Amino acid sequence: MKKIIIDLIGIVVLYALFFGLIYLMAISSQPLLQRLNVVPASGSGDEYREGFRNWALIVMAVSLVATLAWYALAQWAFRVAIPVARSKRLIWLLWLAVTILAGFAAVFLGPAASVNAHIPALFYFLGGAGFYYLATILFSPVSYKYTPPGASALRFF
Amino acid sequence: MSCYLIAVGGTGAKIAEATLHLAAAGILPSPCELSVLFVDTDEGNGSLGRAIRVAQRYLDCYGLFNGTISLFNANVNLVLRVPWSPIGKDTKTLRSIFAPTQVEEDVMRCLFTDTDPSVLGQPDPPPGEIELDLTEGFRARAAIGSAVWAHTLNWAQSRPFEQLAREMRDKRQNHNVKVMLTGSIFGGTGASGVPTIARLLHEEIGKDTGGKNFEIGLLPALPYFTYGDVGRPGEITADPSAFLANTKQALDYYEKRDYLKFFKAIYLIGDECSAQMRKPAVGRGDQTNEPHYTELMAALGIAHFYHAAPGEAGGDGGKPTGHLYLSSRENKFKLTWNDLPMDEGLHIAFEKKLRQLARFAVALRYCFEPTITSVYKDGAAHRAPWYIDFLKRKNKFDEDQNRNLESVKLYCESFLEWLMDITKPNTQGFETRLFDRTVFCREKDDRRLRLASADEFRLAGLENLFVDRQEERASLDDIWAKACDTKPPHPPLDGVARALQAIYSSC
Repeated sequence: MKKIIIDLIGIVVLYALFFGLIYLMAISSQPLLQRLNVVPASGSGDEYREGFRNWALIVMAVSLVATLAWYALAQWAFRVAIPVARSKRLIWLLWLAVTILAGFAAVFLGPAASVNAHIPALFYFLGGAGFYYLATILFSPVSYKYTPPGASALRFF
Repeated sequence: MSCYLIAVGGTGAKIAEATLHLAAAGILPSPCELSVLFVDTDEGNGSLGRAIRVAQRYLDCYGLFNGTISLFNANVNLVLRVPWSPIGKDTKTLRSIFAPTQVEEDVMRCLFTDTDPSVLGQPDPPPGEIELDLTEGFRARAAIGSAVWAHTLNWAQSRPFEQLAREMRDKRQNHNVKVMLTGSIFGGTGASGVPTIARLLHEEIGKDTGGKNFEIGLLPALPYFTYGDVGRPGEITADPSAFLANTKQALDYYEKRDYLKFFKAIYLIGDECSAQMRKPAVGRGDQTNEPHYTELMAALGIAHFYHAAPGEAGGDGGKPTGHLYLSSRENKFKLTWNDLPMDEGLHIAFEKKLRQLARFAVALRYCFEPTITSVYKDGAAHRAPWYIDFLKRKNKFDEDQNRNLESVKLYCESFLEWLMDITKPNTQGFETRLFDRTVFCREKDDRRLRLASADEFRLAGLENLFVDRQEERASLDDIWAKACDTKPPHPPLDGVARALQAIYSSC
């Protein structure tokens, strides 16, 4: 139980860090979107940043749900297969696909930019799929800690 | 400490098998060097073959863990790879052993048949025991055994005994040497062999320097099993209905001849609920009486003897005031964990070690070993994080290591086969409440037991392996997770031992 609590706290802390990025990008007094010269295709900068913030929150929320769903499945639903352990990577990839889809939805349905449009798009994917990847690499239950590709090279606990 | 176990006859071999399993579980003293000598006239005895196979499998695993865990901790060695037999290849009957003159043969006939020498003119009785093929054992005739032992056991000319005597003399210079002799006293080989060898040991070694650093223990098995007709009409065979009478006679004989005085401790083991053995046979490979829980009790007695401080197991200062150890259970028809005869202080630790080995054996056979093999062959190590942690990072798993894994798996299967037999009641109405054997074994059509298949195990699950120990319940997922969360020891072991150590510690 202690391990689960530590993992969940880790996920929340990581989420807060990513949430901080939204603040830096769109909410702070000197928003990064403005400093990086992201120009809205239509409407004012404030309207663009508000739309960006809303979509970023949606993507982050989807990513958090995907992360927690993966964690719950790995901790409580998966059973060690007998006689040979089976890979759960496909299930992990399905949740990753959900976060990527959320990113695409934000890019195509969210506010459009005429200049440097790749920056908010990158942010959607970083905040969605990136958060999911990092959170599952660092805080997956120990029995599936190396299911995320690359985890064995990054996780040493 | 140097421990010796001289297992005489089929029952002695079965008790030795149980002792080897306790050694594997880490229930013998640590550090401990255990030398085992099997003695039997029937070299093809199935029980003996089985015990030697277990010993061999143990030896294949010994040294893998360098003492970092209790598994395979005792340094076991076989004094001989085959049982020592007092019967030669060319001399397998009383007549050929003694080569009697006519007068001596008449005396032998009087001793071994119903001939009455005071009645003249009787027809010659059938040769009976005089011509009996002794390579199938003494057929519960201790009188024949005693004659053969007395004639053939010679320290100077018998290699294992000469080697044993030399080893024991050397070892006792520096540390304590404990010798345990075990065998049944209701049959022929054990009843005659055990006291004869013990007396010789006592006279050859025990009397030197007043018995300092040298203790002999005795574990005679009283009747605890029986069997049906062996199917050899007209031949001389062991008669189970005579077991009790044989036992009484043997004990009387030992007592009157002062045999019991030089034993530091005597552990009498028997069971009033006689187990019905499945396959009656005279000898050779057919005589494979399945293991029985009484042998576990006996092995615990042996462990007690080895654990006892010098002099503690039987009186003080080597005086002939040895202790007599008897074990009994609370309920005649039920065997529980609390009935296992162990010292108060060690009971919980010993119990746990036995359960840990059982859980490890099941988990390894049904999950961890197939997974290691699968990852080794097919890759995708991410399926088993412990594989990456213990077998890939700064370590390697290759064909050599695969052989080590196979050795441990084979031993685990031997252990589970033993466990399934000792937990199977062979007496109507009897219940063994130690392990739930339905977790890892099934009954065949002929009522013999076999290890369960992977599918059968999946349905049963590991959680219910221990009976009456709910607080120790653990599923395979729990063990898997613990293994994934285990840190390797410092310095880490090499090869597959690193993973097995983590798995064992998680069980």
